[in-house]
Order: sequence, then C-alpha cells, then structure tokens
Amino acid sequence: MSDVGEITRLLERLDREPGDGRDAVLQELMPLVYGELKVLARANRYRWSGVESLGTTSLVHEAYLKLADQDRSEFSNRRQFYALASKAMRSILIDNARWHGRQKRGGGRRPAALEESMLVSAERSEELLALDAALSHLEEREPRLARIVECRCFGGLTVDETAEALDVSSATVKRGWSLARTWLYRALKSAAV
Amino acid sequence: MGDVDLGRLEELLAEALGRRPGERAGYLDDACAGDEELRRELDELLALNEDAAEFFDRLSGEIAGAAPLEIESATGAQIRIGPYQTIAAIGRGGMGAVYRAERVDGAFDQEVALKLLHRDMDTPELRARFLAERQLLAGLSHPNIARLLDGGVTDEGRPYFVMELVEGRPITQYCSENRVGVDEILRLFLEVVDAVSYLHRNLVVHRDLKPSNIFVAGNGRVKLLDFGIAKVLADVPDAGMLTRTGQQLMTPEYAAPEQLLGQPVTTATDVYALGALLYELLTGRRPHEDRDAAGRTPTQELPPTPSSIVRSNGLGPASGGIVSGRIEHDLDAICLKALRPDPEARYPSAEQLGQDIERHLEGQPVRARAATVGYRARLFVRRHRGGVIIAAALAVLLVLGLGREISLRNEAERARGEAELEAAKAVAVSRFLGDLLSSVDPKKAQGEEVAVADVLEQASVRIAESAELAGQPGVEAAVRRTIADTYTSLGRYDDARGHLERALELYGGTESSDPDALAATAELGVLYQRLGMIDEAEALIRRVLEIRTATLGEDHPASLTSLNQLADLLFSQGRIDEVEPLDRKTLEIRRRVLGEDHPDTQRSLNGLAATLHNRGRYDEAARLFQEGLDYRRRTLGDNHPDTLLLANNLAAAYLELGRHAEAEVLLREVVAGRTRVLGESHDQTAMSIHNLGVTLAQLGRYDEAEATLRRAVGLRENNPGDRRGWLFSMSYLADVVRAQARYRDAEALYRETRELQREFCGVEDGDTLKTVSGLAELYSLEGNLDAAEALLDEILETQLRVRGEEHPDTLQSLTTLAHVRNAQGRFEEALDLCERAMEAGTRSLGAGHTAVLQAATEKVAAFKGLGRGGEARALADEIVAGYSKTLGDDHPSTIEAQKLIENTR
Repeated sequence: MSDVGEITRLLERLDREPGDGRDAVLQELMPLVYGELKVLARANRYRWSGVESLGTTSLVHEAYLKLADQDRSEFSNRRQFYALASKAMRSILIDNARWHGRQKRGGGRRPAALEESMLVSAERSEELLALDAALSHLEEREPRLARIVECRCFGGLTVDETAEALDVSSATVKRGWSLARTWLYRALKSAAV
Repeated sequence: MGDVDLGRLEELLAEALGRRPGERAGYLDDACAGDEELRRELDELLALNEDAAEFFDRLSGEIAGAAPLEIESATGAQIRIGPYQTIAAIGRGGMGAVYRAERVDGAFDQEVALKLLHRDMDTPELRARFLAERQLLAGLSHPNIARLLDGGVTDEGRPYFVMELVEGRPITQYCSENRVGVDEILRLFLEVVDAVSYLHRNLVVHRDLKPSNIFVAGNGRVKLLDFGIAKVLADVPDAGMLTRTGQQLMTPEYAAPEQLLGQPVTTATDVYALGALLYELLTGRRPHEDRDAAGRTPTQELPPTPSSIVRSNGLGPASGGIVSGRIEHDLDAICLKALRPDPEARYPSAEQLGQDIERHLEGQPVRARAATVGYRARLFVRRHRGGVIIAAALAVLLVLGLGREISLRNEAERARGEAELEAAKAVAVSRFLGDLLSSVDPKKAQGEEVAVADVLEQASVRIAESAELAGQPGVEAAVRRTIADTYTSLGRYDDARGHLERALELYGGTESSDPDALAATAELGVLYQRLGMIDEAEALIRRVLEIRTATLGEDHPASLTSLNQLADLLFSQGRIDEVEPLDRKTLEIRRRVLGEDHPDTQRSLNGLAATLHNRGRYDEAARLFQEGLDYRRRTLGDNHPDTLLLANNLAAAYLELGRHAEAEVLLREVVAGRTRVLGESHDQTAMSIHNLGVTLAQLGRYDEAEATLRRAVGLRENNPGDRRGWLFSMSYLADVVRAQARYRDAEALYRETRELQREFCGVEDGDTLKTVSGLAELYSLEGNLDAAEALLDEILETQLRVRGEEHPDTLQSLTTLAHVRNAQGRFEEALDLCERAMEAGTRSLGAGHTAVLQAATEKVAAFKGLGRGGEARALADEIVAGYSKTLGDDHPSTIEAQKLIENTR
C-alpha cells in the first residue's frame, strides 16, 4: 500500500480512536506525512520556474488534495490533516535548516542537492533554528500557542484555516497568534543580543 | 517573566491591542491592578508588537510563500492587482508569488502569469530600474521566449510583472520523462540557442540559464522564462534583501567560472550555461557534478567528456551504443568547447554554438573538433572573396564584413541544398572522416600544417582502398567532396581538384542534372576559379545556373546560390559592370518572393549597394546603405549586428566621399556596439577597430590611429582564425608608424609582417604585396633608392596582375617608383609613371583621392626636374586645393602640400 493510502487509513482511524489511542496513531502518521510532503516538494520544484523555493502553503494544500483524491468518499479529516501537516512542515523546514548549518560548518561549497536546498535559504537557516528553539520553550508552557504558530508560520495557513484545523474560533487564533509572535520575537531578540 | 500566566497575558494583550494606542496605558493600569510584573511584561510585548508582526510577515513570506496575509486571508479568492484579477495561486517563493490571472477589462482574454514581488523587493532603486527596463524587455519578442507582457506597481507599492503563461515542464524533466532521443534533444537545444542568440542581439545577457528556467510547453516548443526579471533584479545595486536575491539568481550548479570568481558576466557566460545544459541533457548530469560534490571549485578545469559519463553510467538520453558513439565524436567536442573555463576559448557566440550543432546534424565536420585536431586548417580558411579588386584600400577592409555576410549566406543556402544528401550517407561520410581525424595524434596535428596535409593524404589513399566505400559511389563522392573542401581551405587547389573531378565522375559527369552532381559541378566551378581557370569556371557555373533555373525555377534558393557564385566570379575578374545586373536581379527576386522587409532582401539591397560602391558610384551606394541602415535601425534596433554592418559600409562610402568626420562617428558607433554585443575579441569587432584606426590615419590623427591599430593588432593576434586580418592590421600599423617618421620602427614592423604574410597568405598575395610596397615607400623616403627599386622590381609586375592598375596598392607602388626615378634624375620616366598612376587612379577613385594627389605630387617634382616650372606651379595649386577639399585645411597632408607650393616658387 502506498504511503498516501496508508495516511488516509490512519487519518480515518484517528477519527474513531478514543483519546489515548490517538497519540499512537499520530506517532505513526507523522513520518508518513513528512515523507509525503517532501515528495510533493520535490515534484513541485519543477512546476514553476523562477520560484526558488516553493511555498509551504501550496505544499500543504496539495498534499491534502492528493489525499482527498485518494479517498473518493467525503474526506472528513481535513481538520486533523492540516494541523498534522503544519507540524510536519515544521520538521521538514528545521531539518532543512540544520542541513544548511552542517554544510556551513563542514566548510564545503557543495551546492545543496535539489530537494534539500529548495525550502529554506541558507541565510534564513539560523533564524529558523532559533525560532524553533524558542517555539519549543513556548510549547513546554503552552502547547496550544505552539500549534497556532505551526499552522500560521510553517503550514502557511490563514487565520480561518488555522481555526478550523485546531477546532477553535478565529478570534481565539488571532489572540493566541498576537501573543505568540510577540513573545517569540522577544525571545529571538534577546537570544541574538 | 517566566512566571507570568500566559493565558492572562494573552487576554490582556488582545484587549489592549483592540484599543487605540492612547487608551492602552489607562486600560492596563486598571487591568493589572498593581501586578507590576504583569504590567512590565505587557508593556514590553506591546512595544514589540509591530516589529513582531512585520518579522513574521516577512518570515512567512519566505517560508510559507510571499503573498501577504491579507491576500492569503481567503484562499482561492480573487485578488485585484492593477488591471488584473488573479484566478489561482500557482507558485510562491522568496521573490514573490505567482498567480494565474486575467485582465479585468477584457483587453485581451488570454490568461497570464502574474508575478507579485515580495514587499521587501520594493526599494526605490528597484522601482526606478524596473520602470526603465520594462519598456525594453516588453519589446523583446521571440517564439521561444515567454513574453513579458506588462508590469506595474500596486497601490501598496509592490512591483509586479505580467508574463505569458506557460504550462509545461523543465526541459531536463521533459527529456528524461519522454526518453527523448539525441536528435530531438538537439532540436530542442537549438531552440534554446536561438532564443539566447536573440537576447544577445538585443544586448540582454540572461545570466541564469538553467533547466528550471527553460520549459518545454505543451506544444513541444521551448520557452525561456523569467529572464527579464533576472535582468532587472541583477542590475539593481546591492542592498539588503536584494543582495541575497542577486545571489539566488546565480545558481552555483549552473554558474560559469567567471561568475563563481566574481568576474564580469558577458554573453560568453550564457554560452557556458548553454554548454552545461547540453551536457546535462546528454548525460543526465551536470558538468563537474562529481567535483562539486567533493567540494572543489571547478573554475580551472574541463569536466569529463559527456561520452565517458554515458559509457560509465549508462545514463543519458537513450541507451545503446549509437548514442554514445555519436556523443563521442562531435558532441563531446561541442560541449567542452562551450564549457571552457576561459571565456575567450569558448564559442564566440551562442549562434556559432548553434551552427556547430547544425553541422553535426547535417553530418558535416564541426568547428569544435577542427579546433582540437586540425585547427591549423582554420588558419587558412578564407571566407571573403578571393582576389577582390576594389576601388580603394580602405574599401577592401570595410567591405570585408559585407563579403562575409554574403558568403555566410551562401553557405547556408548551400547547406540547405546539401540537406538533400540522405542522412545515412552524411553519417557515413562524417564517420569516415571523423575516424581519420581522430587517428592523428593531436599534438602532432597542432604543431605543423604538415599534419593536416598528412591526414588528407592518408584519406586520399584510404579512400581508394576502402572496402567500406566500395559499391557506394554516392558516399565515396561525398567523402571526396569533403576532402576537396578541406584542401581548398588549405589553399591546395591542385590537390582538391583531382578529388572533386573524381566525385563529379562518380555522380555521372557534368552532363548529369542530379542535384548532387550539380552541387559538385558548382564546387568545381568555384575551384577552377581559384586555380585561375576562369573560362572553365564560368562555363561550369553558368551551366549549373541554367539547369537550376530551368528545373527549379529562378526563385529557388539553389538557383540564387548559382547566381551569387556567378556574381562572385565576375566580381573577382573586375567585371563589376556585369555584376550589377545580377545583383539587381537577386534583389528583384527577393523583393518578389520574400517581400521588402525580409532580411535576405535587405541583404541583397546591401549587396547591390556594395557593388555600386565598387564601381565608384559612391553617392548611389551611400544612399542605398543609408536606406538599409534606416530600415535596420527601425526594425532591429541600433545595436543589432546587421545594423552595425550597414553603419560600417556607409562609413566606407562616406570615406570615399571625403566625409571623414561622419565616417568616424559611424565607426565609433560600430566599435562600441560590437564590443557590447560580440565582445572585444570577436573578429568583427576587431575588424571595425581596425577600420576606425585607418580612418583616424586618414584624418591625420596619427597618435590615435596608432593606438587604435595597436589595439586591433593585439586582439587579432589572439584569434588563430583571423591570421589574415591580424597581419593586415600590422601592415597598416607600419604605415602609420612610417607616417610619423619613425622609420626604424616602421621597417621592423614591415619586415616582420612581410615574413608572416609570405608564410600565411603567400608570396603573391595582394596583402603581402601591399606590405612590400609600403616597405619600398619607406626606403624611398629614407633615400635608400636601390633598396626601394629592388623591392618594386620584385612586386610591381605581380601587383599589376593580381590587383590591377587601378588598385590603390598598385598606385602606391607606381608613385613610389616615380619618386625613386625623380631622385635618380630620370624625370621623363618619372613623369610617365605619374601620368599612368593618375589616369588609373582618377578612373577608379576620382581626381580628389589621396592616391591620385600623391602621384600628382611626384609629377610636380618631375616637372621641376624637367624645368617645366609653370606646369609644376599650376599642378601644385591643384594639389593643395584637392587635399583641402578631401581632407580639410588642417590635415598634415594639406599642410605638406602647401610647403610644396612654396618650394615650386
């Protein structure tokens, strides 16, 4: 069974599982979504030229459409999927940024392999890694805010989409987003000084 | 800060942000109710709010796409951008977002790609540059380039570009997915080359050619994307975000060594990128892919040959030995020539790279291999009309460019005719010759001319014994034609003759009207012409013309080729009055068949003008040149090579008409334009620098003339394909040094030039004779009469035969000899020589020409020697008037002539 099929199956299970079982399913889902997004990212690189790094938003949307297409019945897991994909996107971007960091430390001038170089520019890598660290701190204190940041920032979701994905109101997302971003920004600034 | 309750913080922050700034402090005083830590925390966060929002906007612009949040807010919603309405987002990136869009006002109904730049891209420099360039870029129109249709700035101040919407895939992906074969790859590649050549002609260097910028659209045609934006952005001075953008624009994997080294980017940079593209299409890998993985900068080395990659990896466009065999022979050489680390060593232009691919496809020997194996042969290739008789020395140079255009066109027409030769035959021929050439040790081949001759001799022997060719008279004939062609390039016409005659026999003799037989007959005609068998040559060429006109019609390209060959022959015999009707006929046919505006028609117009020029009808010629120049400025722009050629030719006519200053202006334009478009080292650029130098010499500005000619010499010295031009420039340099009375330097230059010309051009070559004549004049000026006389004895007869009496070089020799006779006191003989020179010169150049005036000056001396003082004075007055009219009052020659008058009193 393809990964896509597997993802669909797991997403359906996620709907049915009671609270405890959900974590296990998410554990299984995460690497699959991660892989799927990377495949899409690689394919997308070729669609439009001049777009040096294809945006994550379209990747996430596209991954969803692919899954929806796979399962011809009404696809009811849009919500979970977007949240999950945003989290996966965070991992991908951060892995990508770490890769740049290794390159830099290695001192080599080897150009990035195609799929590695496409998402994050080397210049942005350090900033991203710092953001990830700050976000991990925030996550420890308030996971809900971290989810909002993942959706808004890494998943490229709009306020309304984030609200839908996290099953909260748009006003809640706005409020959380205002705090999270100023809080993170301050953390980044103080880390940089 | 760690202890503050985030939930409470969140709520208060939102509340505060919901109020006007002035009311926030009051609200927080109440809400915090003395919790100072909470209050401090909130103040801090509020102060950072706007910066934070901006930071995350930009960050999401970078990582989640460039579109701002307000545009994102309704996914799929349509956004107005200028007069456009988006339909869907189709891509996003660091630079901006791309939308499929359409015009709101329905001004045109095709969908377009709209690229909205990121907010950070909006700097005053960028906007100014953008507005300035938009016009230029929108003016570019080529079937293989996605057009920039429009552009503007949104109300928020963000620049956007509107481009032709191209749906397709990058060329590399297209080729690998469809398992495209070598021929088809080359066809696609030629479309890319064509588009790049077009950009170069319009002074745009792409800088960032790579597969992801080169699409194959649904209809199978190639489209270059986005170059305009690349150019606009790359020209903006570095600043913040733009610096980064600039770096992104140059993709290291596809960058040329000079880009990696931060050196200037020229059209040669694009030639490199084209080479890299071809390499990847053929092998599936980028050049230096192994190397760059190992972290080494491949700025000094050539990559492994494509065929070695294909052999070792089994990668490449299609499997099988045929492919790797083909790659091995020609395409290796072509790729590597384009990928040379030194920009000067690459193909001089994208166009020439394309021509080599075409030659490969037609089974003809490619230039890239000639450069490595038999490059010596190139030295001898003479592209201009041999033995041309032209009215003035200067015109010889200036019209050289024109002659080149005509013969190139002939080559193209011939190539079309030869396409009739079946592909299999062509492959057999090129394989036979290719094997032969590869069997020669390249080092040896590079060393001596003899090596090339050896190859040809081997070929001659092998062809007689070859089992491969036995029973295939068509193939044998084609091989012999190629050998003959190579011998011809080497100037060994006698050796060429046997092969060509045998080829014609194999085709069925001169009576056959088979297309191959006709082509061989025509080639033999041209060869006979070179061998001086003019009557035989004319008979053959006329015969081919007749048959082609009868069977194909006079409008057929092959018939036109024959017409041009006949014109060439008549031209070379000085029968210029017979050439004119032929040129008029060619022009008439092209006007009728192709229309007034077709480039070939315009070339014919130029050809007719050149003929008129050579008949001394400079006024008419200048009018036609001017007409052609205006046309080309209008249709092609000021910097198109064809426009520059016309400017060059018009300058030649102006010089003849004594309009030196106007000529100088035009020539400076030509030099500047060619330097920009073709690069300084291109042979055409070097030629126009030479012409400018000669013009300056005519203007009497010897210092500038010398500097300019030295530049031409320096450039031409480095071009092994232009030995003749190099030596010609040296010869003129010697003239200018002599004019400044630096006789010792001049003598050394003349001697060196003469030795080299004897070697490369031949003892009896017109150019060689000109140098000897200049040296003779030098000796006579120094008073070394015996040496001058000896040289003139040596060359005058040959010069009269090769150049004719009316040629300026011959006039110079006659005048110099008159000078010698005067000095010897043999005034009667001097007088005869002067009269002879003046008559011939007046006939061809007009009475006011400097060559005639120089002869007249000697005549004054002869009159004086004979005691005919009155005649001497009268003539001296005429001479001063003539110089003053032709060169102006300030010219050194005019001043010199005035001294002459004083001496006659």
